[in-house]
Amino acid sequence: MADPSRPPPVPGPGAGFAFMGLGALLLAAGSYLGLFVAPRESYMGDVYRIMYAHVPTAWNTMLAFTFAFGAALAFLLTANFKWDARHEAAVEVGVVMAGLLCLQGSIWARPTWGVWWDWDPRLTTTAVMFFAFVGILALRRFVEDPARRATWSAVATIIAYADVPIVYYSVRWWNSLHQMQSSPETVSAVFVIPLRTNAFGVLFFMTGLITLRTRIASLRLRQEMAPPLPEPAPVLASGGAR
Amino acid sequence: MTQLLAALRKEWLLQSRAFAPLLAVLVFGATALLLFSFAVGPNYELLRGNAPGFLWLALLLSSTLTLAESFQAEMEHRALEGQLLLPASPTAVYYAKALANWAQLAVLGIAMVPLMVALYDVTMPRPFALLGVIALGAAGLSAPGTLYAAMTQQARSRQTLLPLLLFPLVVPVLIAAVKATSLLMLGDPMGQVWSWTLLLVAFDAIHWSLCGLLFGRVVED
Amino acid sequence: MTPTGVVTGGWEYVIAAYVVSLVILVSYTASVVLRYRAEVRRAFRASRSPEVP
Repeated sequence: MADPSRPPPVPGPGAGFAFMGLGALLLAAGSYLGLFVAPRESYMGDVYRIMYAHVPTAWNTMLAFTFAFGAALAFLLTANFKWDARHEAAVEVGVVMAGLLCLQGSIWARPTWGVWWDWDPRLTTTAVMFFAFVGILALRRFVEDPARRATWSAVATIIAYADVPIVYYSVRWWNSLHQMQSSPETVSAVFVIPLRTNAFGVLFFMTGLITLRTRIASLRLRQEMAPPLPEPAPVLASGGAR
Repeated sequence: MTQLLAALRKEWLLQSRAFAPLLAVLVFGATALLLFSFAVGPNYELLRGNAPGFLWLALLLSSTLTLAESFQAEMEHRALEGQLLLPASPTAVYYAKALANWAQLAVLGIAMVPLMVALYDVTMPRPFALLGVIALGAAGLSAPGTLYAAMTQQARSRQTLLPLLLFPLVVPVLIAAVKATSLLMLGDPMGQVWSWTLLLVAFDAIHWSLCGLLFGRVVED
Repeated sequence: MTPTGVVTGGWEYVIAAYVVSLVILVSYTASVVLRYRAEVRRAFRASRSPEVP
């Protein structure tokens, strides 16, 4: 059982800001290349440039949730609360990224398919994951005991993550009767460099976010699991100045 | 195994006194079915086509009621801690509870079929296969539902938390069960019902094992 | 809209996507940084002065 008398350690903030700075630089470079330097695509004209934001976001959303799964597993196996802090951070960042992904996908669908949502299996699975992990954040908010909160949300993350492939395949089969093939999979070399740059940019930026958010969780856990305050000094019985 | 049987016997005793609540949930499900038809309008083509969806949505909504109460008896008398101190294996407790919930949900689903036939004018050319799909779908709802019911029983805002956690998780059950039911009721020229049934079986297998494995961590203290 | 032929224009969608991404990332980052600073301040105060009722 998780030991509540051992709160996680709290290292300094330095690495978090550095990661975010590096990530921001890469994103600026990659976006500039993708928006202004890369040539127009044969089918989708200029709209395809959304891909330079959308695809890196997609890769990193999955990465965030995978890291959350790993942290949840690590917590259940080691009962070390540093993994609970990382788990909380990864789930929250993953939720933000998943929400962003759905918005981007919707904005891309409109000019290409004429609808705001086309039930694309990957995007629909992301929407389901978004709701599943929002539920896990709600679970964390409504459970007060730190040990129980950590254990229960870890269990919930493991089940939610294990569910992802099933959700994906069921949506894919369900939609296969109506689906026109969505975005092209093969990307030729001239498009790859901005994509890779942005992918690493989002990766570093997200790592920075998760690092900082982990600190927040660690600090809160330290406060919650702090030993009880010492007894107050007895007040002098004779009335008068203390 | 003997622990499982003992836990099951306990569940059976609880269930035999729970007829009234189950009836109430059935009335809730029936009302939901009625409301769906009001939402769509008296267009028989539409109603017949959407009937499978309505059935499974009504069952899903009803499940939040039955699952939320499934640990009620244990909560009121702090019997869960008592059981686990015996020592009873949490796995036996889980499977007994999940089986009991499965039975309740399957009974609810089957009871809603005649209502569906009446309200939506559907035919039932393959009744036994339909029974099988209802059983598999109910099992898919029951396995994660029992786990989350145990968690949310003790949390604040538990009435919102249980569906919030459960619904995204059982999307595959909803998709597969509705598709399979629809093929069974409206015709299946390409023999696809088996692939959807297989999906249900896979979901059930994964969750009945995974949730059973993890239940111990949820109730430990 | 038929999926044949080239999609013309569409820069407003590209801009919309980038703006949405920027807004969400920047506001979330700001939220994280502000919460981090608040937690550090609170932890510092708690460690300096043991609370006396």
